[in-house]
Amino acid sequence: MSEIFRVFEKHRAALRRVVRRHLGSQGDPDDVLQEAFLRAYGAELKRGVEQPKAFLFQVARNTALGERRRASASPMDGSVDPESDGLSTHAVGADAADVLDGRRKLHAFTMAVLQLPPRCRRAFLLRRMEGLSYKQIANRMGISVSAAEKHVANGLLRCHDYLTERGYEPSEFGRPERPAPAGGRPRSADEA
Amino acid sequence: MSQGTRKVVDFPRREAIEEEAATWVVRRSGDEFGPEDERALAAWLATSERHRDAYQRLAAVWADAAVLEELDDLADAAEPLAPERRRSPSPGRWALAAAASVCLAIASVLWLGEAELPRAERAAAQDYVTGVGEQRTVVLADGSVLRLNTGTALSVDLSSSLRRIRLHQGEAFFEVAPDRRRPFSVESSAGSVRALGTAFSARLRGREHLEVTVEEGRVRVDPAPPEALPSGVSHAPLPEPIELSAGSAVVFVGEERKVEPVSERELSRRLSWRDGVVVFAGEPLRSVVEDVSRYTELEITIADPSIEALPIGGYFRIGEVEALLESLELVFGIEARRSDTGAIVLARAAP
Repeated sequence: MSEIFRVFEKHRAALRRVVRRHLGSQGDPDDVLQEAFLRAYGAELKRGVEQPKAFLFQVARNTALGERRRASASPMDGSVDPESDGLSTHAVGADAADVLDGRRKLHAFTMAVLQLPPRCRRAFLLRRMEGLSYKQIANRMGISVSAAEKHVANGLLRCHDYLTERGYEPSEFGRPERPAPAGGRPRSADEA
Repeated sequence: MSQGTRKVVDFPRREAIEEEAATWVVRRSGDEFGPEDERALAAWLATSERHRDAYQRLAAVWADAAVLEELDDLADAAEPLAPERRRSPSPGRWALAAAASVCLAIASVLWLGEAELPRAERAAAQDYVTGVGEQRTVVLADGSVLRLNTGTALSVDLSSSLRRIRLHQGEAFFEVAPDRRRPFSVESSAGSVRALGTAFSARLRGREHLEVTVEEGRVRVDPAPPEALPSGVSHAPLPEPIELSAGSAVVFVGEERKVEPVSERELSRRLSWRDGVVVFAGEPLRSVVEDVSRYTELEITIADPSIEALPIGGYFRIGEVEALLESLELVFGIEARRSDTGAIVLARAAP
């Protein structure tokens, strides 16, 4: 199991308080908390995290501060140079709602992945997060190509069951196409 | 007739269909799914409605699972905020001098203490220190974020009427939380900076050389403030303060100052240390050496004057001095030797 997830579950209330305090009156603490968890979990998957508790609190605080800074940097504030385009990249409105939907979807999948047995999860993430081929996964994990495929298929099945039990509706239901090529961002394809 | 001989294959288990469907979906996403495979899949799908239904549902989940790629980007969002990673020892990492280790220990305690006990208020005039090669992120009670680069010492004084940082040495980046009632200032021996809702960095080199780079918003920069001068010392009238906006920088050297616009690219180069890298874009070798030396206890000298001005491009991950020396050798033909005293001596490699 993921250490970050374990710490997150254990200290969820304290983390939420930290987020609330740093967020002030801006934004939804639960969205920020979720974002912080995903960042920390991504970091754990990508390179490992020492001192997961301290790390998670730090990420939660910084995510909240970033959100607050972003939200409070409206032209009404007067403290932002209107000539500066530094903040205009943070879109608000419809885009922000899309991002939030994307985050919820990502969160659902992350939770599903967390339930997988360790080797199954590893293979699944190597394929779906990092876009490795089955041959590369087999090499990486020291198993055969068909074993790699089996792990990933098992991961897919379990994720499907996990999500279905929770009433998740795939957005591309009934679209049995090849998925976007590795490295593609399906979100941005939707937005285009 | 015993149960053992009864045939049950006429009604395959639902799970078996789903398992097969998952295998098809997963295999089809791979590189080696050829035309025969497509035909075999078509035949499998033709078996029954349940086969097709299982396949469609799993393919949809698989397509949606591509959202997991975003975890990779999100990990990067957490990166500059993960100083403990840099704390881990790695091969080729420099040895920290005893004094620096002490500073480091203090800084770690402060940092961890803050992480575990996220209190809203902390005592006034708090000191923060980083050793050579260390970086720290500090979140102040007002919500401002301080990122300390290598070899930096500063103290923070928060009160109900002001927020005052004293930069004693080194470099830090400030993301200032808006609070109109409490001005945020950074003071140093070479001048002071007043933030007007903003994000900026200040780097003190020696006593009299201050570099301020503004990423967002505006700041007002004053030459050496009266508090920084020994009492009783009279001085010539100070130059007027300067207001800087995003994308510009100012350098103070004693009473001289130079304001320059900074391109977006140069801005991100100058602030790249926040991500644990130092980027070079054609700087002469001597300033590369000067810059890298900030991050290591190793002494690096250039033995051959003819290579001092050699333009260097590339990036240096903080802590990986050996890798930098290696690429100097490979790419630029500069040899790094170790002298008897342990210093690194750079010279043109023999042809």
